[in-house]
Amino acid sequence: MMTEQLLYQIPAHLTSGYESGAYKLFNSILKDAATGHIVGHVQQTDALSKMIGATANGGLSVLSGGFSPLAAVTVAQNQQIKNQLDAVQQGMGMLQNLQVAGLALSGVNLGVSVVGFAMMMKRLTAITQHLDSLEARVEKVTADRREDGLRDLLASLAAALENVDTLHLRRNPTYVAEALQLQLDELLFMLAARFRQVLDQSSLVEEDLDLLWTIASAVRLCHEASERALFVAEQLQLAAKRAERQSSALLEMTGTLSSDLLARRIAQASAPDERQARRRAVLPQAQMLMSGLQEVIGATAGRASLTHSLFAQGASGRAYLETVESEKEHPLLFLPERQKATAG
Amino acid sequence: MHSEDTFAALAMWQWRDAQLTNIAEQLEDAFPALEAQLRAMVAATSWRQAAISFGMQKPLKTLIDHWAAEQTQLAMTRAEAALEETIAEIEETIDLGSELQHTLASTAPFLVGGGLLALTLPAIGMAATFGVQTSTVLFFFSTSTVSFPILAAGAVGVGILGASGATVLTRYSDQAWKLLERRCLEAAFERVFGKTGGPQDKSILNAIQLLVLKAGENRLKDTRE
Repeated sequence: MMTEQLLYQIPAHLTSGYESGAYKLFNSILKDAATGHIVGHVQQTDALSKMIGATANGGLSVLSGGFSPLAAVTVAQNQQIKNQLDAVQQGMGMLQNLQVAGLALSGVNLGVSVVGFAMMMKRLTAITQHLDSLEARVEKVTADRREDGLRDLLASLAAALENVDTLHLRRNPTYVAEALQLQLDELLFMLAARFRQVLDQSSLVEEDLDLLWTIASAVRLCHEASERALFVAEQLQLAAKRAERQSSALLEMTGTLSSDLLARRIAQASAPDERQARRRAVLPQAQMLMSGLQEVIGATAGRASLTHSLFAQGASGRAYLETVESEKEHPLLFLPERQKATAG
Repeated sequence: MHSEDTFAALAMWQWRDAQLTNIAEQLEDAFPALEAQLRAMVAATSWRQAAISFGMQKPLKTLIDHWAAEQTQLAMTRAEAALEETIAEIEETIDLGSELQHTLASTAPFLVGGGLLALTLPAIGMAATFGVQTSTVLFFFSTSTVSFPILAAGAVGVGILGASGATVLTRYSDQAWKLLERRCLEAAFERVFGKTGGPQDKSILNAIQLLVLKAGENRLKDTRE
């Protein structure tokens, strides 16, 4: 297994090339705009999470605290977030593409997740608490609106997260990691089923958008946990394959959604002369949901590409995570696409 | 799915989402103009025409279909330009070693997908291409399964008044005309936005949205040839 340096500071020519349009960033994948070739991957580090956490005023404090309800995100101004990100000086050019929805749904999405156990649990607790408040907001909680089943899934997810966190201490992490991955897969299937169930209801209410957002956030957490397990267990090929499949599965699960159709379904409950105003009022939340889902899918596809690259280079998953988590100075690091470079 | 296909699909998803929203807003913004035309049409309608059952239906349908054809052209033009931009962006950044045609064609079925819209007009047929002529769109709307609310009740109401004699007519004509106008406007609203306003209705809004998506799908399939 390779132990040489994998991650570097982003080379100056790539940063300036990105700014001039010579290179384009597709989530974490940096491509040469002229040839379409992947030149490398951008990886967020622990330093970025700290920097975002440090700019704790205004919109970012809403978004960096783990999970954020859809309504809270909708009111946060994109520009406000951008202004706050300006405070993060290093690698700022590459951070310009970050969207509010992606940050709020799953944190920064550039590369492999560096979110530690404490943050994952904080996010999960916030998701569970939000579920309670969602139920309270639905005036009359009918049987089909109760979320006991979803709450059970989140409890199972909490148990899995604990096991992922202690994985590196085990004598045989590979065996446990594989078992955890199967358990997380099962949870993913059940979360996806609940997501579809919400959409298949005969009528939708505004709170359902927030519920979809909540489920999507739990799905993202499952992905992060299972990816971490496979990295610790040095199963990079499997991690790459799974990330690829997860992005396809997410696309299949959500790809037929449209913000207009969701908004119109919610507006159907209104009187005919009030429907248009209702549709327009609900539309921003539906658009934010779409945007968040798209960013999660893009991030998953980006991670699949990055993990393929790591595997091809014979890298150690555990060493990679340690490098990313121990980086305190640079918010973004760069993983060059060595195979393509030498082949060219 | 390869990451390039995923990013292409996401780009198409964004195109689709924007077009559907644009079309809904376009029709909402344009509807007052149609209402004004309908009011003018009702005002110019003769007692004889209004008195005949279904007498209003044909001119009303013609007016709405022409308005719908105009709206379709606007939506198609905007959607086509946006789609070409999206394709060019994908083309610019896709790896030269992979096949653009394959990537685009793979996203084509994803555009219409299994969404509710696909259920509204199962046989969208020949009209679903960009650059479609007004006459083709008109033919589509005249033969499509988009439902048309029956105006008989409104027309018959006026007819009964018409047959009741001049005195009654004088007393009630304003009221009857307002009733007729209201029914025409309600009928137009229902035809444009649907009975419930939802994506499962047979409505002009859903028909235009589906036409645009189908045209996009056909455009992507064309790149394969």
